Amino acid sequence: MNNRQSWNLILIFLILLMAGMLLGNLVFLAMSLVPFFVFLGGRVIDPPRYTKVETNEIPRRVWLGQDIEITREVTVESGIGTVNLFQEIPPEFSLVEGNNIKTHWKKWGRETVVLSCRVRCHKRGAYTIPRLKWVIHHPLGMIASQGTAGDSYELTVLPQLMSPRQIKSLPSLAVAPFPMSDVARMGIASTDFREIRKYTIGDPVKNINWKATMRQVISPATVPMVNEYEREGRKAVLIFLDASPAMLLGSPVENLLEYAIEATGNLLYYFIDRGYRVGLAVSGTPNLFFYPDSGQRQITKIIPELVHINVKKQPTRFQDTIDTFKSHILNYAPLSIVVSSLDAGNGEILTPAFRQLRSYYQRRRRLPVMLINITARDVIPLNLRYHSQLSKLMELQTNPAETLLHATGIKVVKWNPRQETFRAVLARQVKKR
Amino acid sequence: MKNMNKPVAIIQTVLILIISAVVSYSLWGNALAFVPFAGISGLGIWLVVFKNWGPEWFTVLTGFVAMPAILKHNTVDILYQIMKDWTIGQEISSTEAVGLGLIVMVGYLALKYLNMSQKQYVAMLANKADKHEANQVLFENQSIIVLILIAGTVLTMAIILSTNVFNSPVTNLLTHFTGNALVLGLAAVVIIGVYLFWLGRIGKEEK
Repeated sequence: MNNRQSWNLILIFLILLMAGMLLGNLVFLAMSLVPFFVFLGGRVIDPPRYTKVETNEIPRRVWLGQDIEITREVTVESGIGTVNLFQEIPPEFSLVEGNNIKTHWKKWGRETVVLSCRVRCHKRGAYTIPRLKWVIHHPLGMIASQGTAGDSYELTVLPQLMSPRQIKSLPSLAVAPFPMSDVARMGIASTDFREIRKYTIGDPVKNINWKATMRQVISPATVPMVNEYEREGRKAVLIFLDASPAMLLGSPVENLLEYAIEATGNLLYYFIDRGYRVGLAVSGTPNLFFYPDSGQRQITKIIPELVHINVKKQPTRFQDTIDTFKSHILNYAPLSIVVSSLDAGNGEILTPAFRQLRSYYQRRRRLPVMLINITARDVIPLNLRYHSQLSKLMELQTNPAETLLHATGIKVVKWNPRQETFRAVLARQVKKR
Repeated sequence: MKNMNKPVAIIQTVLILIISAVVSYSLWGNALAFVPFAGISGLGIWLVVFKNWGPEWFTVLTGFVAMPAILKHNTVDILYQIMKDWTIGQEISSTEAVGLGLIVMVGYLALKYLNMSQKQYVAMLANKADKHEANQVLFENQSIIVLILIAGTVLTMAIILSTNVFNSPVTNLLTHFTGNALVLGLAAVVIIGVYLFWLGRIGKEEK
């Protein structure tokens, strides 16, 4: 019982009753009866009673930008009153359709109240969709009960990855040091097992894995599974992801780090799909690196780690991150891709890092080092008085560093996430001579 | 107040005007009644409708204004020394006085529940609830409140009217017992006490 509402009525009743009896005043006695009967009327009406919640199937892993449908069906027994339902969603999510708040007038008898909404996540990470909150009100406000119901769901939002198949190329000599058409792909298969994949025309029959094929058989149209073996002489790609505090430029949801992770995920996916051995090192997060490897297992190993990357207060030096793969660079001279932004004001950090990276490569006609330079000027919230000049100022600030990098033979690839997708940037790099 | 429900605000305003008019008339039956009417209604509309503070202060004010007319119906002369020189407050009949009291009390409760509904409505919209759903809940809730208030008023009037019918026979019957006031008074206190204890117990259990 909500004591305040009920006791107010009783108090008024008693005061007026006493006054009426003391003064022998019929008016006070009559007045005292009204709150008394309202109180009795309120007590006769039962408030609704919550019973159970049923929730639809919510996926545990979704891609960035993917919609999630949340439907909660709440069964409410007997009574009349207001039923308020609230499904809390993390701040990084936005409502696309429906509403996460439902208010419903419950009539007599059993009723099912449905709260349905479609949400979209704008930032990769691990999230919790909490339990449903419910509040039930008596029509006269005498009783109010609240609680939580249903299950909470752990959700992992993975960085958005494009389909690498959409960027096609033929084996030839590349204009950029971008080994998308590297003939090493065509190398002789070794005896090192890589992975099991679906059969494609041209695969030798001896490679068919009959046991795996039988396990997959669910219809006559099932494709046989074949063993894929590591190929000799494949090139390796090293990706260095800058996760320094400077990369937090932008809003908490949309910042350089988010775009850098998106670019990293796409590069990884792109090269792995083409059979390369890809390694990753994250500056800003000590000991977070992956030695070059190929196959889907490398993606399944790295992508979940990308989800949890956060900027640390005391980041590691970029040079230290590069040193992680020093011996690998010296031995194999792989393509090194640094994903960062000159706009973030870390040109002073990147220049010595590139100098160091360059020193590890032997003298080559074309240095296989690339910088994915994410343009920050459109990502920064423009609430400053002179914001119209911001773009020019940032360009003037970054131009010297960019020119210097060009001069040292490093290819700088600009990506403005507000103007084009990373897929478009990647497609531009696979031009042939 | 942002997002307030206009029909509710209009009903509140109309109720305040009616209550103010009735209590002001009970004070003075001439053109002077317009002065308290303007003051009470203006303050009531500002406090209840615009500030959404609840009708408590407004009701206290109307109670004070209606008090002289109501107190003239005292049958126990405890306040005789104070009231003998009073010139304010109209001489109204017993039925009119009961009507005045009921208007003040029912008006207070109606304003209180309308205020509560208005606050819930504003909170719902502030939390981005669907406006159509919020309107529907408000309408249904008010229907129940109006029903209960009407039922309470009708029952009260029925009891008051029945006292006129049963007053003489019951009084005659009770005067035959010695110590009737003590016995009946104690019985009433015990019944109310038991009832309050029972309510308190239910309240604890529900908590």
